[in-house]
Amino acid sequence: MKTTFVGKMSAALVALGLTAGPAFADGQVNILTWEGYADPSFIKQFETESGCKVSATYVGSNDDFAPKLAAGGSVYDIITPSLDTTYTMVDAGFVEPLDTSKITEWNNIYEKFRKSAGINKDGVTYGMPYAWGAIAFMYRVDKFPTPPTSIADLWNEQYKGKVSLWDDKSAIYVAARLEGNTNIYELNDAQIEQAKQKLIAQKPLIRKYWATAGELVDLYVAGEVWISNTWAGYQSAQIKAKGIDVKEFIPKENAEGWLDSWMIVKDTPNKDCVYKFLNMQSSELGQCGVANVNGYSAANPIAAKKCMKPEQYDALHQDDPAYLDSLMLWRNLGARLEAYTNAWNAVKAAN
Amino acid sequence: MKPIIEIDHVSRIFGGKIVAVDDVRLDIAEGEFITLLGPSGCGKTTLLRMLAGFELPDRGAVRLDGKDVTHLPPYRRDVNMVFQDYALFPHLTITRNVAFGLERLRLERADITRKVEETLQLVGLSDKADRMPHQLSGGQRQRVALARAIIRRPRVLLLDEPLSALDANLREAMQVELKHLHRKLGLTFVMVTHDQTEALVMSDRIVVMHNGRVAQAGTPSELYDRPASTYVANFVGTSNLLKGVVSGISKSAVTVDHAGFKFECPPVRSVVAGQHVIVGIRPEKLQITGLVNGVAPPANAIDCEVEERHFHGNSIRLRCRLSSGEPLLCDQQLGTTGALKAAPEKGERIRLAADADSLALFTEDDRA
Amino acid sequence: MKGFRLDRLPGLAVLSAPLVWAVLFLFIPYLIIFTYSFWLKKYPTFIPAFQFGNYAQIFADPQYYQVLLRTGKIALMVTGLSLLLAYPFAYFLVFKVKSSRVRSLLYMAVIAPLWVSYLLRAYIWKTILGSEGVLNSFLVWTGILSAPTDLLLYNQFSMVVTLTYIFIPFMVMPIFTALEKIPRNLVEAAGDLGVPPWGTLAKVIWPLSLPGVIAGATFTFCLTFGDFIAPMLVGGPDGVMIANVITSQYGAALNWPLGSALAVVLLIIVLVIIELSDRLQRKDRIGLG
Repeated sequence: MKTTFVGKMSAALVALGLTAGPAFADGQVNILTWEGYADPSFIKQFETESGCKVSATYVGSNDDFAPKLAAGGSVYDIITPSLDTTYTMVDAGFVEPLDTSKITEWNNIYEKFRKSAGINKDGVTYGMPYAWGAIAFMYRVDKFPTPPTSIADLWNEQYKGKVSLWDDKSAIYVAARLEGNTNIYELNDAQIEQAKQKLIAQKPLIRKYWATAGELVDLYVAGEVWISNTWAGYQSAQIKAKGIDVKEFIPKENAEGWLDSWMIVKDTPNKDCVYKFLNMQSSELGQCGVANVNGYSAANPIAAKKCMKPEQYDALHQDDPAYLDSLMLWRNLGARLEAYTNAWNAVKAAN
Repeated sequence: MKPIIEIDHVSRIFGGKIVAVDDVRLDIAEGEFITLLGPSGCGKTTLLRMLAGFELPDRGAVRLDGKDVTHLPPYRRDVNMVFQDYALFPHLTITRNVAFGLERLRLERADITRKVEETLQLVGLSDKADRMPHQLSGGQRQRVALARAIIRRPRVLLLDEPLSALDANLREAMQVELKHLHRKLGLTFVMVTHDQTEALVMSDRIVVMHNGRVAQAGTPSELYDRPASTYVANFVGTSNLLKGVVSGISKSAVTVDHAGFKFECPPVRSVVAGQHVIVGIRPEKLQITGLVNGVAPPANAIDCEVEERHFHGNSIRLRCRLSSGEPLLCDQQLGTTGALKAAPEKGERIRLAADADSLALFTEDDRA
Repeated sequence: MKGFRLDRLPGLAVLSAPLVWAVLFLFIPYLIIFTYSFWLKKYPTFIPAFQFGNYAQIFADPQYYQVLLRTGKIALMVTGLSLLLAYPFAYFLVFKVKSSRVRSLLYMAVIAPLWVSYLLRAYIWKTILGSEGVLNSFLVWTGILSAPTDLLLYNQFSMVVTLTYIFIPFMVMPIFTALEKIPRNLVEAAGDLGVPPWGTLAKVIWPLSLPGVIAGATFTFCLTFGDFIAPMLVGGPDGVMIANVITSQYGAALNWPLGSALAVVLLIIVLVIIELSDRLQRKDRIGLG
């Protein structure tokens, strides 16, 4: 779940660059994914070893998967939607069942992930969990003498014009928790309306809703934003690298957790390479690859342990089941999705 | 009478090097119809535009009614112009075009309406009041332009080639109309044209311009009968210009030899014996005295051979060639029946003679 | 006997290429969008139907007509500001700049940014208007402000400024052309008839340049009306425009039918404006014959 604005715009170009794979390739795998999930640092080795050429196209948000697949054309073999989108892919018939017996490390993946409702339907598994993390919160250390501990700090008049929030339906989850509604994935209409009003009331404090990872980084670096939510591990590292001291925190209202899974597009002709690719991604090469490039936690802690330094393993909460359990893991909203997105759109449309 | 316009040593130099108007001095009398005549590029239009205020002189002054207006913008000068291509406002009706100049005069609405009606009537366009300019013919637009310019009754009306865009018949009718209008309104008209006939027909006085300077100013007949230079002689009407040498000078005449023929010219210029000069003879001043015979030609007579005859309706033009090889034009009126028959045939050698009074003497050829 | 001559084929191809292009990439997509606009949103995607619910929703739910109104407001402000800046500039170029070299140089200076990427030009305004941007730094440095202001960026002001900057060439070009077409002697004639320069501007130059003004206003208004990048880059939380709503209906909401209905409404609005402007221009052009 990593992207930058420029990355999105130049997706096609990057894809072209990756196309220049080994000449001896006897197969191929076309992926629609987040930037960083097909990073040359580990993909090159895979291409050499497997003989499968990898072509990647990048998405900027989970909302990009459905339109691209709905447009048809069987361009992509595998995709990596997040847990709030995976079930829609299944329901819409965009993806096909996964043969878990072909994935060597399958049983080493966190059980909580393997059994997640988002990737299982009627006892059939459709996705291979890959990377995870929290939708944490983040603030500029120099602007907060007392570190913020609550979502309420994003509604604090004191920080008027310095607040940002992800331009996503997850804003509803945030506002609902502030209202004390912890059943954020099962809100009724009244609760959604409550969250919506809360968000509308927050609008005067908002500097800008961030749409892409890179945009939030830019907003912090340009001094526009002091506090926001964030994709834990990823943006904070980039912001720190540019000399702005930020700190992530999990508020007392808790944080959502996200999980990205690999899903096989229905009727792909490249099954052979696809399973080679999945085996690579679920093993040390892929698991440490994604952790090193993006700062996300790995879905296969057994593989991760073999290739991570203890500090990194620790920092990514890989042996901390309590942390994982505390996160409110994203869920498929099903038919309720419309109510959530509609409310969020109404917030943005409001004057 | 005090002149209404004084052009006082005015020069206009474009881009620091092209001298369009060169030290022109000219007084224009009130009520006069004066025409600036010359070929394109002679400076006549630039001079007119300086009167209007569209161009500012680089040197000299322009006075209107005794007041210095040299640097006054156009909208503060009591002159109005009829533009060459009329410059009617395409988005306004004829009425509003004509009324345009009144709008800043703070007149009563009814007053404006009356004046516009009167003026349109004057130019015969009462029935076109509500049309748009593009709905009118060229001649009608011309009248609108005229109406628009005279409605303010300016001290001076400027006309920039007002008839050049009209066809020949219409032009002639408009010449007469303009002349009538001038008399009726009693305004001072300053017109620019390159058409000598137009100038001769309409003007009280013509200013012939040449290379930014005034070549000659005078009444039409003065210019025609006593051109000051070969340039004027050739530009106003047509002239035969014969090169010759002064062979004798007396109180009453200067004798010029041209290829064995002698001309006794009026002594209007001081010349010395042996000087190279030019004799100007209008084609219609040459009379046929007979066929060439053995008798030596008298003074002011010349022999030539008819090469071509051109029938002009009321006259016939003979294109002849002198023994010196120079061409000579001769116009013969066809006033009486049989005159055409009597005219010499092609190839005949005829003797032509002119009155001494009708000869012009020039010291140099400045036709260029 | 040949019923069909092969040598005519290239000519035929040349003629039909634009037509094929128009049908393939304009007409058919419009038709598809039009069809979708009657479909029904049904989890997980949408199903074929023929109903007007999507259109009803647009006019019943305030979030849609509010955004339409806001988009119209922004487009009007951009059009007004562009006109206010472009007209005097074009007037200056055509009537005051004597040297034709200087004139074409200044004209190109306005047109040249069209060759620079839209994104880059919008980004420039971010660096100018930002809290720690060029303008704020300058205002603080001169002492006009004691602390940087947030009021310059991420709001409707910054959107209007950016969109004006981006679309102003489309205002300058037709006005410049219209002014250049006005015969100089009409200006002289007005002066000659006693009307001072400002009166000439009001009574002659302005009415005769109206077709250019209308064309420029139409371009600017329609381009702004359909813009979605400025709200993304320099717009704030109150900056969502109609094209952004359409984007999110096609994306996040996965509600192509509603997105299509919105697109049809947007298309109709733009077509109506173009038609109106066309009529106005035709009416004004009669004068010029």
